[in-house]
Amino acid sequence: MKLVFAIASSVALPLHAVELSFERDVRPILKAHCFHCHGEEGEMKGDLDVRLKRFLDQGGESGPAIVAGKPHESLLLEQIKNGEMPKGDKKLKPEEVAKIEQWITAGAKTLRPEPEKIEGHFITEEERGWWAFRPVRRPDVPAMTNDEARMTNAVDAFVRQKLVASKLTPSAEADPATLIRRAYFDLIGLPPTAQEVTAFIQESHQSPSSYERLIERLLARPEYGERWGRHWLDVVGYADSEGFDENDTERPSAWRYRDYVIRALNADLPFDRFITEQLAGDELIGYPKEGELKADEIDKLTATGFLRMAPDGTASTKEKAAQNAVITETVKIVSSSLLGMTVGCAECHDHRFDPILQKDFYRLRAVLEPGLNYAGWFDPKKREVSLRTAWDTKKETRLNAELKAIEVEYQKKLNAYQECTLNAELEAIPEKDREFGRAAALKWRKDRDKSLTPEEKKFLADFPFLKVSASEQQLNLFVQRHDEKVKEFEADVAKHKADVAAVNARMPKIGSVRALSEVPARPLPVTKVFLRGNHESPGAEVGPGDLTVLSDVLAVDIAPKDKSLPTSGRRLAFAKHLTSGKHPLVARVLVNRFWMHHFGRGLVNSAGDFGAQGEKPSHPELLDWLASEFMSSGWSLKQFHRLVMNSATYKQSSLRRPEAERLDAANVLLWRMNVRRLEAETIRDATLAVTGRLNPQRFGEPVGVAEDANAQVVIGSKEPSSDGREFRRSIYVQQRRSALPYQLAVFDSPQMEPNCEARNISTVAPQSLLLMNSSFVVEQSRAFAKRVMSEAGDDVSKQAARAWELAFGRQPAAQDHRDAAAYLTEQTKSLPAGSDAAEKALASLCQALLGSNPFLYIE
Amino acid sequence: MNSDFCQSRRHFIGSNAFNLSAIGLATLLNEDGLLAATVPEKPALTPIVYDTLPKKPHFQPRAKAMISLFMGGGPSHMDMFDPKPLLNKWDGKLFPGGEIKFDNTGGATRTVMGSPFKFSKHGESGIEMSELIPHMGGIADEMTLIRSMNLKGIRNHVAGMKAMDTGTGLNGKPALGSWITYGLGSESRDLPAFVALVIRKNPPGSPFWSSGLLPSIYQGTHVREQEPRIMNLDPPEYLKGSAQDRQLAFLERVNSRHLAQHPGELDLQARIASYQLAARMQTAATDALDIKKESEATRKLYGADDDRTKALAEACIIARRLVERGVRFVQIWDYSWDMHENINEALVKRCGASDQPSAALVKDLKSRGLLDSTLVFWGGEMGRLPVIQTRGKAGKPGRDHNTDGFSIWMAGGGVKQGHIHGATDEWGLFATEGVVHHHDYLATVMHLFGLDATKLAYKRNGRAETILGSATGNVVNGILA
Repeated sequence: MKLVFAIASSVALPLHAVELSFERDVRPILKAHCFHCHGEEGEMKGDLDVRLKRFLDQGGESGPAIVAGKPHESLLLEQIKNGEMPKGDKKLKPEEVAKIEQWITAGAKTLRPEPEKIEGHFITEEERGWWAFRPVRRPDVPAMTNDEARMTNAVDAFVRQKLVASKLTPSAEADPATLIRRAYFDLIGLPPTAQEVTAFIQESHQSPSSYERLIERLLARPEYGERWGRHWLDVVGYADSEGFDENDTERPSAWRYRDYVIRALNADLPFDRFITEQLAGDELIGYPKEGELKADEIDKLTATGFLRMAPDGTASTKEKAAQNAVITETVKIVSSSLLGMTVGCAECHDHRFDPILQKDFYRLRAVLEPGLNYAGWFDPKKREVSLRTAWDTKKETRLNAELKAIEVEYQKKLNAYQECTLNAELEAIPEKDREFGRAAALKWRKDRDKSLTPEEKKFLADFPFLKVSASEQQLNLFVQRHDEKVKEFEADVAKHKADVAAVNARMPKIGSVRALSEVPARPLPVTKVFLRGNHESPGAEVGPGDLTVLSDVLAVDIAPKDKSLPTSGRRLAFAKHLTSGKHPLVARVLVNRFWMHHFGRGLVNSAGDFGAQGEKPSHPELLDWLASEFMSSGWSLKQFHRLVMNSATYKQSSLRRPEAERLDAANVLLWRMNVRRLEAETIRDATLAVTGRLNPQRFGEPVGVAEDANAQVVIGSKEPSSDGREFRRSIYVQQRRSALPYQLAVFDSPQMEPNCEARNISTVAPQSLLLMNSSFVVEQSRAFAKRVMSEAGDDVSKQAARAWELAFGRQPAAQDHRDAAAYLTEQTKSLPAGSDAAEKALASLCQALLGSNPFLYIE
Repeated sequence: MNSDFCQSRRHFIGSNAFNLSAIGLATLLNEDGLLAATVPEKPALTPIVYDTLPKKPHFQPRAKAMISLFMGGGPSHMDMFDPKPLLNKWDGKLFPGGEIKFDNTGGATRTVMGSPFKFSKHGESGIEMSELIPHMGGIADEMTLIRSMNLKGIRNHVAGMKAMDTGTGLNGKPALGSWITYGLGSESRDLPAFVALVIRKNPPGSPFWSSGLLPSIYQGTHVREQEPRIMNLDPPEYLKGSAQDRQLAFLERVNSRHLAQHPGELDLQARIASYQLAARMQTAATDALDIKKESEATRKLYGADDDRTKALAEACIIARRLVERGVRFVQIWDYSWDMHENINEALVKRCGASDQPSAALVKDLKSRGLLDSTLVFWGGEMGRLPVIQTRGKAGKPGRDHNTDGFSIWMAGGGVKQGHIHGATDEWGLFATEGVVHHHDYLATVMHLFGLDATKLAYKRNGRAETILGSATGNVVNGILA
């Protein structure tokens, strides 16, 4: 291991300082372009294997592939240069060709003797040495002067070290109004109210610790989990529908997982537990088991919804390919969310750029396969875990008895009506026949036609109105003909209906959980590598495990130890493996993503790809220190926020400085805060908060979506609801894959196929059209105007100031204030004279503010 | 970037209604600097700003724009484009061949049904088409008729339309129009790059103009058959006219003062520019969609004043007006060709509604010198079976789906004129010669635009996604002019 480390650090040396080598320079190129046909999986076109330098010397059918020192005699180079190889359209880049040529010219060196033979799949020391696969180290915090240390924390020490090295200086702290807005959006995704801003500004003049206290208050707010839950739901690919095909079947119980996530984050559930519950909550409670589930157990089962988020076509088709796709997509979600590697690329063949073997993909699959059993598939409905409790059953029994009693009473009443109706009907036949008629009618009442004599039958056919049954519907027809009873009868019917409804309303609603669990079975399902990813071509068997490349850091075979579990225990063992504190990827991937949500850019800019195709960390020591600190402080996300948000780096102003701009325009080194656009959901939530319409109702079934008259997907139904549910926070809006609400989609809310590691940020005209003309924004602006009028009265100057304060959380500058007030006066005059011209003008001002940059961007 | 474009841009700058600020100007000039950018091969995973500025194709293009008349539901190839005399010989007899795959077994039979429609040769090329579509016959010498379409492994409408439009039958993949605008951007700064016009009803499984995993900027803008034709294009009632101009001017002052505190912040600049574009779009799109401006002769050519042809005629005219103004990709969706019963009467009606406008579009583009650079597509996701389906009223049979063999045609944009490609077997059941799968069709369209379908990729979750996915798509070289 020491040896490997030495090599790893030598990799970091600038290229020109070291000689080109096969392992470091040439092999990665050949791996990406040539291994596929020349070496991998027994494929040896032209009898040539290019996986080792000595194989190149040896060559194939056409002779040696290279001749050291003699590029002109090297067939490999010739074939690459004349475009003969590689076959297909994807050729080598000129710089890659040049590198190979240079390497051959310099004598085709290797770093060390090559292995005698390649056993299975060969991972080089260079590949193992890739930064993300090395253990997390806890670097010493760089020294700071006493003065600096008083103002800053460890995060700043790492950031400053880099800044100093690049002759950059940090920016000054942002003003309190900017800071509070930034902190609110970052932690709870909503703007501060005008009062909160004023109070904070005052407080910050008086007490240096006011900002720290602000962070604490925000961390304790229930909206915190809604904000950070949304980030996690992106990564896991949360959706309220199955996707896969046009049916896009709904997932009626997926929301319980969403609520679990929100509650877990609000409770600051340590992330190691959070991950373990999501991967193996069922195994934590020894499920399946007899008896009723306790609340805590339901939580753990709900957490496994994580493994049920992939698009799932098996709700609507029985095809094997659809089942296979569910497992494949789940492996991708698990690996991209927790490992930050593009393991999905290794489904069909070894990864082209990273040392991820094809069998690694299937080893991860084997972790899941006892739960997502390809051989004995359960469609989504069959997986639902019912939440019926003994109390439910008891209550149901009791209420059913009540219903029965109601029916008995009611039937007595109906019988009485039947009797008096018959008497009334008998009045309509000749008196002499009444006795006979009554007897016949009573017989009919008993068993219909069975015991009637032929005469009686005929008689009743002649006088069908004597057939008075005791059913509500029938009696109604008869009663209608006898005025004196109508009212009484109708009242009885209505009362009965109400009585039944009242009992039914008390019936327990029995929900279910979208969980992942295993059917205890021995032997366990077998996982095989699918040749070329084709599920109809199974190859060698593999056991559960993590990426092979990590095997020198920690054991990568997943060997469940707990024999008491009814299930395989694989996922539980895998979760323990990931959260042991020794895994090189998990904590780095997590803290990097948290960082990204605070700064708009991760320390590793490719949050979902820590491999060779991703970007290297801008601050590798800081990343490691944060990962180490995160783990040693109990995997607490809230602690992470405290650490980062209390740093001077976070509190910096976002203003650009020309001299720093020249050195680091992209602000990779963090000499200022980034300006960030609000996400789709945050724009909507903030709008509702400002207009005063936000419905704070938390948790539970999602708000539906519908197509409006213009075939646009809108939140809620076509008509306004009575309870304002369409104004709940966006995280509670149904996430149908095939029906993303337009107002969110246009601002880049993600389509989950299968998940989203980082959002796009587009700036397009349809967004502006939406802000200018959509009925949502127009209605909200009218509501905003009403609010401003009620708070500021009729004076345009006061109105302008109040609207400004509410929208941006700060007082307008003098010029802004004058301009806004003048605009109001002018616009009022321009609108058709009428009682509401002033209100409309104010609404148009409010709308402009809600669509303006100070509202849409966090500074 | 061609100089005409730059000129029109400058022209626009000079005549902008919003008194473009220096910053706005800088943004636009900055955009100009980006114009030479090549096709984004591998965008980064993390936030980057996408645009629809014109991009260089991979190689010399033949088409600059496309109008796709997507006739969903399955126009009957053996009644329109692909004469099968054998069917008439066997009419009423049991089909002697092998297995027939039915998508709808309700009323399925193996009784052969001949076509009651007469076929004749058209133009110098002598392409045979039926009496149902005399106007299309009139443009035979302009078109390449592909009689050998086949959707390998795909059945039914939704999956079929997805396959033709996105390369797979699955959900969530970007539409062809999204890929092309992603690769090439748009020639218009005032209009959306990709427009989907829907007539009659939304096809099942729509929208087929979604950008899927590509950024939303490449999504098709939905233009409806009636007003409001574009969503959110019209100002709220009380702000119509100068009131909204005044409001936007105020907004721009707020944004400009804000930007002055953040000089150089590109996102803030881009937002200001996007409002300006939106405002231009309100004018430009309103103008582009105003077909009242068309001459009497043009309206007559398309049949815009005849109730039977009006819907498609107006859509075609709008499509042409959009392409004239630099829109890259216009797709007209007409899902009305699914004829399980009473097919012979239904075809007369449907062809009556479609024949004249479709042919008029080609003629009109040609007379305006636009046909060379505009690819016109006509067709759907399937054809129909040679046997009777007796679903519905007795004596009025229909035909079930056939994704194994059907016809489409293309014109302009670099395809051969008066050319027939491929063939089905003698029953019209399977494409047998020169088979064109959906991937081949998509690769060919991309090729005509100067794009390599295997190279135009978008990196997501570490994978380079292309329209072909893991499938192979071969450019159908035989149809290239």
